[in-house]
Amino acid sequence: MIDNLNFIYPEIFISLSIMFLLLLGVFKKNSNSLVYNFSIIFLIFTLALIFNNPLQSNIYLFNDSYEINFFSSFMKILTISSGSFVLIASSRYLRIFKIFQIEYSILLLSSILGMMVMISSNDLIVFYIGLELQSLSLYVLASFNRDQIKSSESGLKYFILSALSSGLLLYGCSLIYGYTGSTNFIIISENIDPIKYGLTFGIVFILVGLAFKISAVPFHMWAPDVYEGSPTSVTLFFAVVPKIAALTVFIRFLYVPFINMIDQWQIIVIFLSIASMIFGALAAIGQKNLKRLVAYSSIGHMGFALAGLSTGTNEGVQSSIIYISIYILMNLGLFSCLFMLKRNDKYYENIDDLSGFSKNHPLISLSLLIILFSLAGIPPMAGFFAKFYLFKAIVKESMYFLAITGLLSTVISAFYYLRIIKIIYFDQEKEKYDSDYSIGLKLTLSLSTLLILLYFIYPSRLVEIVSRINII
Amino acid sequence: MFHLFTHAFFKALLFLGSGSVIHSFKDEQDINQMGGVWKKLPYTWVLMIIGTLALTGFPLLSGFYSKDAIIEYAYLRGNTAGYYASTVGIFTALLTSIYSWRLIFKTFHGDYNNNKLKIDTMHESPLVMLIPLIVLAIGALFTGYFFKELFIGHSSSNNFWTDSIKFLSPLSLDHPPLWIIYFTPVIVVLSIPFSYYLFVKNKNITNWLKNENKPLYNFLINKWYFDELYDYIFVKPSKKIGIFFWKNIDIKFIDKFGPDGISNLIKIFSNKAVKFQSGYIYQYAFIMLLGFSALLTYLILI
Amino acid sequence: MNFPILSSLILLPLVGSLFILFVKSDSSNTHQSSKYVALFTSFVNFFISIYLWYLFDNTISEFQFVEDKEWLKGFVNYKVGIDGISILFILLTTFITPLSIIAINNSISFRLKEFLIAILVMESLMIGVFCSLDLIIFYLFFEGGLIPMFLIIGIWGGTRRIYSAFKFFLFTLLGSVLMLVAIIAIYWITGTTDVVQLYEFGIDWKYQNLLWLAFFSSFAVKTPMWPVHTWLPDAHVEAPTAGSVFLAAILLKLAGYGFIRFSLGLFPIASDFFTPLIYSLSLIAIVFISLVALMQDDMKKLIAYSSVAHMGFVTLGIFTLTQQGIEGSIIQMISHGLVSAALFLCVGVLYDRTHSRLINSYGGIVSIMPKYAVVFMIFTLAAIGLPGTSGFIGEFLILLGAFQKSIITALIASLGVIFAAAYMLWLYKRVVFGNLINKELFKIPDLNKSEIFILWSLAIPTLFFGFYPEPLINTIEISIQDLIQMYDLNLSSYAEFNGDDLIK
Repeated sequence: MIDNLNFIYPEIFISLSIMFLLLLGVFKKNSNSLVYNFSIIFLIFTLALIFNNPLQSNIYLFNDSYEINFFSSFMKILTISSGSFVLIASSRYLRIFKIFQIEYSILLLSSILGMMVMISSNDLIVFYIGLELQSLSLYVLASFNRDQIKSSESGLKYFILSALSSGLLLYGCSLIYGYTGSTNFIIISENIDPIKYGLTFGIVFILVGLAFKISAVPFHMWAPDVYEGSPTSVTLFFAVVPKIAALTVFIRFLYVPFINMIDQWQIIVIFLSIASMIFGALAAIGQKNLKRLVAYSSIGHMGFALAGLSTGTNEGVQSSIIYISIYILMNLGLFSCLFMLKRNDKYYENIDDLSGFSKNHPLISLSLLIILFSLAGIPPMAGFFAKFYLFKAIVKESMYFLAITGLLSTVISAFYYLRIIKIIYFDQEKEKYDSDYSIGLKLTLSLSTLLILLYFIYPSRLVEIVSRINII
Repeated sequence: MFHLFTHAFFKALLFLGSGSVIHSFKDEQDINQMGGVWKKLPYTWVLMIIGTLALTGFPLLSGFYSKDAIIEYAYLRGNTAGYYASTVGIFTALLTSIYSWRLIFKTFHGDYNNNKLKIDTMHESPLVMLIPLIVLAIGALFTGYFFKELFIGHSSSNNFWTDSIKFLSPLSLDHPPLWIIYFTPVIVVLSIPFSYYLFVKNKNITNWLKNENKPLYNFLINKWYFDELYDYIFVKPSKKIGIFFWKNIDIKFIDKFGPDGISNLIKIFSNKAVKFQSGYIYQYAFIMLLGFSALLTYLILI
Repeated sequence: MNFPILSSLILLPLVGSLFILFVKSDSSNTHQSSKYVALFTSFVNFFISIYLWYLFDNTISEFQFVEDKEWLKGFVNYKVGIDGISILFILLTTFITPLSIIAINNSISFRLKEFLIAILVMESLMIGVFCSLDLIIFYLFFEGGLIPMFLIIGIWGGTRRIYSAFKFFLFTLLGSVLMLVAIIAIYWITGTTDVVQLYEFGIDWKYQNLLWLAFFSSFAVKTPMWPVHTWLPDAHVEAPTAGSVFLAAILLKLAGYGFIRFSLGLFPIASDFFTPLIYSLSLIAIVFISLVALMQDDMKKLIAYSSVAHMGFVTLGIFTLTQQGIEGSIIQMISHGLVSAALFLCVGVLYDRTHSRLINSYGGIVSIMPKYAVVFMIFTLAAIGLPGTSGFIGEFLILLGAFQKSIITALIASLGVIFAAAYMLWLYKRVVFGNLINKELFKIPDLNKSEIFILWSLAIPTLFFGFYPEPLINTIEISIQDLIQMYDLNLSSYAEFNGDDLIK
C-alpha cells in the first residue's frame, strides 16, 4: 500500500506546495509575486512528476478508489499545463486589477488539486471530495475582485447554483449506492441492473450535476453571468481548466460503471449535446461582451465534446479528448488577446472595442483571426481537425442527425466568430491599445497561435497519443 | 441561285457605293440630308446608277436575266401559286425600281440638303474605294449575260448544278408568253422617269401621299413595325421575365427565404436566447430543475 | 521519388506570402517591394506550371507526379497528383494570379500587403484543390479558400461588402459541411478517402444517391447553380477588381472540377439518376439568369449573372456525360476563367477612373478610349461565344454533347446563347457606343501600359484557343475518355445487377 504512494507523488507534492505557499505568504511580507512565481514553478514540477509516473500501466490505489492510468495522467497533464498557462498569461492583469494576492494562486492550485483527485477518482466519494475541493476554490476565485459588484454577484450565483447541483449530484450518488451497494465504480458496474428505475434516477441526478460543471444546456445558466462578472483571468480559468476535469469524470462515470446502461444515458447525452450546440451558437450571436460571448461559445463547444461522448465508443471518447485539448489551446490564445486589450490600465472587453483592431495591431489581430477561424472550425486550423475527428466518430455510429445538427450549428456559430473578425478587420479603427505585453502573455499567445495554425502539418501526433486511451 | 449570284455583285456595288457617298458626306446616312452632288461625285454616281439599273432588272444587265428568269419560271409553273408568285414578282420589281431610283435621285440630284456640310467640301472618294466599285460594276453589268447559259440555260451540255438542286416536278421547257418577258423590263424602265418625277420634280405628290396616308406612311417608314413587333413579342417579355426573376425570385423569394430569411430567423431566436438569461438566480435554478425533471420524465416514459 | 513539383507549386506562394509578411510595414516603399515579391513568386509559379504542362504526358490516363505521404496515420495520406483535367485548372490559376496582382495597381489603396498575402494564400489553396487526390485533403483546401476570400471581399470591398462577405462565407460553408459528413461517411463505407482507390473499387450504389446529394449541396453553392446562386452577384459586386477576377476565374471552377472529379467519378450511378435535376437547374440558370443579366444596370452584376449562366452551360455539359460535353465544359471553364476575368478587369478599368459601375453613367467610351473599346469588344464577343474565341469551342462542344442526349435540352440551351449575345452586346453598346453624355468621361485616359499588358495577355489565349483548341483538347482527352469508360462500365454493371434482382 505504502509502496504505491509514489504514484500519487504529484498530488502529494501539490498539496505540500499549497501549504508551503500559504505559510510563505502569511509569514513573509509582500510575497505576492514570490508566491505567484513559485506556484508556476511548482505546477511545472508537478507536471514533471506526472511524466515520471509509468504512464502506460493501470494502477489502483486505496482499495481501488483511486485509479492512475494513461487517461488520467493525460488529463492531469492537460489540466496542469493549462493551469500554468493561465497563471503565466494573467500576471499583469492581476497586478493592474490589484488582485495580485497570495490567495489567488493558492486557490488556483487547490482547485487544480481538486481536479486531479476528480480525474483519478474511481469511487463516488473520492470523486465528490475532489469536486467540492475544486468548486470551493472556484467560488472564491469568481468573487475575487470583491470590490466590484459584478464579481461578487457572480461568485454568489455560482455558489448557490453549484450548491444546488452538488445536492442533486450527491443525491444521485446515494441512490446509486442504495441500488448497487457500493460507491466503487468497478463494483457498481458488476452489480448493475439496468431495469431498475432507481439506477436510472441516480444516473440522471449525477449527469445533471456534471452537466452543470461543464455548463451544458439547460444547466448552463450560471455560465454567462459568472464568466462576465469574474475577473478575466478567472474567466479564462473557468473556461478551460474545470472543463477538463468535468469531462474526464463524465467519461469515466459513463464508461466505467454505467457502460451497460448506454441505452438510458445515451439519449440524455445526445439531448444535452444538441441543446448546447444550438443554444450556444444562437445565444452567442446576440452578445456584446466578449467574455459573455466566450461563455456561450464554450457552451457550444462543450456540446460538441458531449457529442463525442454520446457515441459509446472508444473512438468517440478519443475524439472528445482531442476536441477538448484543441479547445483549451484556442481559448488560451483567445484570452491572451483579451488580456492585450488594455489602454491606460483599463481593460476593455466589449466586442466593439476591437473595432479596427487590425490597423494598429496587425500581428495580434492576425493571431486572433487564426484563433477565431479555428474556433469556427474552418480548415486548415486546428479547430477543424477537432471537429473532424468528432464527426468521424459520430458518423461511424451512423448518428447522422447528431452530425448534421452539429454541422449546422457550426455554420451558425461561424456567424458570430465572423462578426468579431468583421469588427477587427472591416470596421473603423479606434485608439491604439497599450503594447507593453508581458513575456508570458506573448509566449502564450504565440505558442497557441502557432500550434493552431501549424497543427495541420503534423496532425498525427496528438491522435497517436490519444488513441492510447482505451476506456472500454 | 442565279439571282443570288448576280445579286451579290450589284448589292455589293450599291453598298460600297453608298459607303462612298456616306464617306463623302462625313458619315451621314440619312438620304434626306443629301442631294445634288452628282457633279461632285461623278464616278460614284455612275457606278451607283449601274448598280441600281442592275438591281432593278434593267434590260441586258445582270439583274435582268436573273430576276426575269425567276418571274418567268414562276409563271411557267402554271399553277395558281406560280401566277401569284410572278405577279408579286413583277409588282415588287416595280417597287424596287421606284425605291432604288428614289435613292439615286435623292442622293445625287435635286437640291443640296445638307446643312452641316458645305457642298464645296464634297469630293470624290479616293481611288482605293473606287476600284472595287468598278470591278463590281463590271460584274453587275455583264455577269447576267455571260453566266446565263451556264446557270439556267436549257440546253447547256455542262449542267452546272447537275444534281445538287432537285426540282419537285420537271420544269416545262416551253417559253413563256412573250408579254411576260417584256412586261417586267418595260415597267422597270418606265418607272425611272416616274420616280424621277416623284422625287425630284414634283415633291408635292409624295408629300400629298404622305399626308393623306399618314398611318400607312408611318407603317411603311417603320418597316411594317417589324422591329416593334419583335420588341413586343420577344424583347419586352424577356425583359419582364428578367426583372421578375431578378426582383421577385432572386431577391424576394430566394434571398428572403434563403440566406436573409434564415439569418433573420436566427437573429430572432438569438434575441430570445439572450433574453432567456434574466440574471435572477431563482429563475436559473428553476430552469435547471425544469430541465432535470424533463430528462427524468422522458426516461421514465420510455 | 522525383522532385515534388506539385507540392512546391502549392508551397511557393505560401513562402512568398511569408516574405511579404515580414516586409517592414513602415518603410515608404513597402508597397513596391511587397508587390515585387508577390509578382515574382506568382510568375515563378506560373513558369513552373508551364514546365509541368510540358512534362505532362497526355497519352496516359493515370495520375502523374503523384506524391503520397503519410499524414493522418492510417487514415489520410497527403496525396497529390494531376491528370489531364486538373493540369489545365492549375495553369489557369497560376496564370490568373500574377495578372490579378498587376491589376491591383489602382483599385487597392490601403493594406496592400495584406491583400497580396491573401491573394497568394488563395493561390496555393486553389492549386491544392486542383491536385489533391484525397477527399480530406481536397476538403481542406476547398474550405480553406473561404478565409482569404472572405477577407478580400470584406476588407477591400465596396459599400455593402460586409453583407456580401457574410453571405458568401456562410452560404458556401453551409454547402460544404454536408460534404464533410459525406466524406466521412465514404471513409466508413469504403475504408479510404483516397480518390484513386475509390475510383478502382467504387462505392456501393445503395449509398450513392445520398452521398451525391451531399456533395452536390456543396458544389451547387460553389458553382453556383440556381437557386443557390444569390451570393455570387453580391460577392462579385462588392469585391475589389482583383478579388472578382480571382473569384470568377478560379473559385467558380472549383465546383465544376469537383463535379467532374468527384460526382461523376465516385458516384456514377447517382450522377445518372440525378441528370434530369442537373439539366433543369442548368437550363433555368442558362435561360432565366441570362434574362436577369439582361436587366442589370450595374456592370459587375451583369457580368456576375452572366457567370451564373455560363456555369449553367458547364454543369449541363458535364452531366451530358459525353466526351464532347465534358470536354466542352472544361474548355468553357477555362475560357470563362479568361473571359470573365478580363471582363471584370474591363469593368475595373472604368471603375478606377470614374468610380461608377452603373451602365447608364457611361456611353460613347469608344471615342475616348479606343484601345479599351477594342479589347472590351474581344471579350464581349468571347463571352457570347463567337466562333474564333475560346468561348465558342466550349459552348459548341457542350451543345454538341447535349444534342446527343436530349434535343430539347440542347435547344433550350442554345436559346441561352442568344440571350448571352443580347445582354453582352447591349451592355457593350450602352457603354462603348452611344453619345457621350457624362461630362466626367471626357477627362479619362485610355488604358495604361499595365492594363494593356493584362488585358492582352488574357485576350491572346482567348483568341488562340478559339482558333486552335488542340493543345487543350489533347491534354484532357485521354482522361475524359477514361472517366466516361469507367462511368459506362459502372452503369452497365449496375444495370446487370438490377436485372439479376428482377429475375430473382
